[in-house]
Amino acid sequence: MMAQDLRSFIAAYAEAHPGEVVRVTEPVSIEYDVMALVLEYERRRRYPILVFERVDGYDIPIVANVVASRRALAFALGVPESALATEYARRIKEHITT
Amino acid sequence: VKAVHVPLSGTSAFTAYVSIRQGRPGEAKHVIPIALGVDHYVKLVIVVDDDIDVFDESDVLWAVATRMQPDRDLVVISGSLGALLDPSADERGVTAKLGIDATRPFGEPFAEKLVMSPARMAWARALVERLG
Repeated sequence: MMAQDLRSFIAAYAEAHPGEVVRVTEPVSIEYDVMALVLEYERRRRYPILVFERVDGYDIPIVANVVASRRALAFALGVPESALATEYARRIKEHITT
Repeated sequence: VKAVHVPLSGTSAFTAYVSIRQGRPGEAKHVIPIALGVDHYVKLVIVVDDDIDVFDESDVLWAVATRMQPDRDLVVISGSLGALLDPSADERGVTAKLGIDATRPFGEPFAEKLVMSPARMAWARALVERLG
């Protein structure tokens, strides 16, 4: 099973699908910039994971589009895209108990 | 009327999208038979408000999804003159016609369409060009 943290997931996904994780190093504002970039990629029919490394006024980066694509969602569930729907239907019934 | 689009997806002229700025109640429904009457090929007319880009089919379908109520916004005309080239028409080319009023109710408060500012979208376009 894949490590259950966001950093490991993004690193593993970037290794498996180079170019599908886009790192934005220029400063962005918290208000609209993140969504504007998501919309522009969507307009181009692209759904990469976006990592905003420098957010004005905050020390914490923003990650967007984490499972925006079927490819990323299938990768997260550890199945090929063709098996995504059935795997998703199976897993959504599995409640996480704490 | 602001704009009319007869899209490629309607093959020749089976579909027409019309955007209007409504000035009087009932105008959207009024437009439907007028657009259908322009050419006997026209089979489906979708009327939208002027904030919808008729050249963007996904924008038109968004208006249908969010502003159309099937019980009051569909207009169907049976047994009308259609095109022999339409495989769904009968052997004489007779077809039904459909008008969809996907405009907001006239003169009533209605949810705003939220759009990203052109300035931020221009910034995003330039950034994507750089990022690849």
